[in-house]
Amino acid sequence: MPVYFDHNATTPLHPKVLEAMIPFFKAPQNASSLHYYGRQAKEALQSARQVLADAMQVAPSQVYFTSGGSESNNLALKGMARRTQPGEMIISAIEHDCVREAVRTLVTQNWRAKVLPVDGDGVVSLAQLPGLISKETRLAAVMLANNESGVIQPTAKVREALPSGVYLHVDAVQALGKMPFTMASTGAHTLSLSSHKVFGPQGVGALIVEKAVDIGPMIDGGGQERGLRSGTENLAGIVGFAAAVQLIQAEMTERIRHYERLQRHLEQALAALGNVTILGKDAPRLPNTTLIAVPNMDGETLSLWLNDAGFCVSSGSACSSGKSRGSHVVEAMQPDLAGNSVRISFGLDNSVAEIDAFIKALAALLEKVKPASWW
Amino acid sequence: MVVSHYFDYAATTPVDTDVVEAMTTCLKNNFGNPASQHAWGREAQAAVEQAKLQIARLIECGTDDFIFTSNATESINFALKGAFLGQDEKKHIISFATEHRATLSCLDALKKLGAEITLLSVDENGQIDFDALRKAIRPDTLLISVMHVNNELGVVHDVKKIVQLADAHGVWVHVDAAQSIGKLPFSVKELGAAMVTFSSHKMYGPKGIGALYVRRRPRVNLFPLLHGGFDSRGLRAGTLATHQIVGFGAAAQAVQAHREEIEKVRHCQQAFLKALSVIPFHLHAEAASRVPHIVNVQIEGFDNRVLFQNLSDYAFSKGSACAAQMESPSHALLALGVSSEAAGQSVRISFGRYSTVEASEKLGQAIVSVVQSKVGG
Repeated sequence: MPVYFDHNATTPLHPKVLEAMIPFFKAPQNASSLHYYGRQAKEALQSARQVLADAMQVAPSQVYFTSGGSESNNLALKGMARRTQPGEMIISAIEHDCVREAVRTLVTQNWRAKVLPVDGDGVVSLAQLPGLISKETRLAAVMLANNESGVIQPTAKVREALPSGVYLHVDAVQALGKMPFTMASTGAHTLSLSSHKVFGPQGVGALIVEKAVDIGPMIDGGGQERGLRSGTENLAGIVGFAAAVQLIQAEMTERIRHYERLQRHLEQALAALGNVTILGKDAPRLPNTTLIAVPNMDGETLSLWLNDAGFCVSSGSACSSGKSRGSHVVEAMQPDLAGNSVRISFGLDNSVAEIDAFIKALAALLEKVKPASWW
Repeated sequence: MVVSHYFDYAATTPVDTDVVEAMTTCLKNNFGNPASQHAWGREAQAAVEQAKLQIARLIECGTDDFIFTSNATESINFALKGAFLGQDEKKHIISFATEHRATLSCLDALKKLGAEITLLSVDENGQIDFDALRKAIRPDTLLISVMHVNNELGVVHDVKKIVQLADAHGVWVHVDAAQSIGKLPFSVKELGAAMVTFSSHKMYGPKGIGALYVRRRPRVNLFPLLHGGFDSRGLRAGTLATHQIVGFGAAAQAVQAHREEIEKVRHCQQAFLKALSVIPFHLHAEAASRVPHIVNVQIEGFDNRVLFQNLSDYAFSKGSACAAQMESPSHALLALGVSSEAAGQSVRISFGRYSTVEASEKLGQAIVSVVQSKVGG
């Protein structure tokens, strides 16, 4: 199989996570049941919730498990909207598709959306934020780290700039496991997390909710997750997620050091290649993510070539890959490069040797298509 | 606890060994995001396609005729809210008093959004009154939502007849088949309903994955519940949980190998009821057409909590698991005209793949001996 450099799309399962999950695959454990198996399930669910609570430094009652990051983001925005009169919301120009689409839906329900732009490095403009705030502003959504560029956003400063009573939703799906943070340090009223981006299983995520915040459910039913998210809990998934988060807590410093070493190596080599731009280069960035663009070179094509050469990278977020349009993230930071970007995102198993091989392949590809005007 | 002492198959099923193996293999080797374009992504996508084929064979429909969700509750929310919000002509929805809480809660939420709900009652055996249903249909009726098999009583509703009646009036039908698909033969093609909800963890597959069948023709327009980077039909956003889908597919496949299971389950139920018949009891919905894997019995004059306390090495329930945490009596039993007191004397026993006739008989005897020791002593 090819080298995997697409960890921002999804990550392989950590062997220790699988180990933690296996006992929960087999038994008939419905956490709502009152018998032996039900109690067992409930205990597992409680300890998983405690792990997430400890990691985010919140109370267990603030942790709500969902089916993933997309659901968490939808729940935060629509759930807040369900509890208030329509008004205005501010969303950053670089949010994930699921935030953008949820906002688009709310706009059809009498909400108005204002876009908070980013600068050339992909950081939201704090200077322009006050001009977007009005008496009608109810909600803002700014992600903690962008999934394509890896650029880290000053969400705590955004919170400070917002009048009290305006909710800040922070999508921290890509930040988890790659930078230290807590609920408080992000300034979030609601915060989304996902398991499969942190070497946990797919199909599970969480929404962390600040205590005083009132949001309504999106899925009604048996009243699980204290009424905010009904449906039989995905127990093995939740246990796996918690195991993955526990590993993060134990290995954070090591992981960051590993990523930084790979990123430094990659970016030095890219600089030596010449005509490759690293987007958001001078902004604080996740250590595992490097978004590059080669002027006049279609990003989708380049990523397909790299895939053929044995390196899994992507031209944008996985959710919208395969669609032939430029990245809205790059469009917002460097419009002239919107169709040219390729994302490299590292995981725990990547090595310097893999990067060297990648650089060689990239150089060969660029050499092959080099028009006279390039260098 | 031994697995043969598990009598709560209507709450959730143990996961089939083949399913566990398929999931574990997938988790070890096949982690890609099915939406990714590269080799890992394509491999995950291939695994998803294989699972879709296994499921499509089980319920007899096309591989792209259903949408994966995180569970049956999400499917029901998607079906009901999606249908209501996907159009603006019709606002009337018909359902029944014995439906699952997911349906009833959704209907409450829809009421606040302007939907008009008719909740029809059932008779003392939990059966639908077709005359009342016919009369309830209005020109602005959008949808009838009905469960195929009731989760608390085991009553089977004639969903084919409901679909025929609804079709004649241009009304959609959503069938909640969470308790029947994988346990009873079920053909989506033959049924012709607009939407069908089903769930993996009620058919020996993993939790955290379900599906909603959505008919293609005549078209059913649904407004999505989860927005974002969409699936192929633009109906549900979010990364597909590959291993769970693979597990769901393997569970569908395993059903084919367990076709004879229903006969064994029938024997389990008979053995249980025979053992129980030493003491007076009432079988709820006795006169209705019922599935063999669910029985709901009232031990007259005997508080069910005493049974739970004394039989903690068995697993059974007082009704729907979702409502187990609540102290209130089962809404389904109340809908049959059963008193709160009688509901508090009732237990649901549900059988399945790993049940044995011996253990079923033993459970009946165990209940009898608890009752006799408390009443006699």
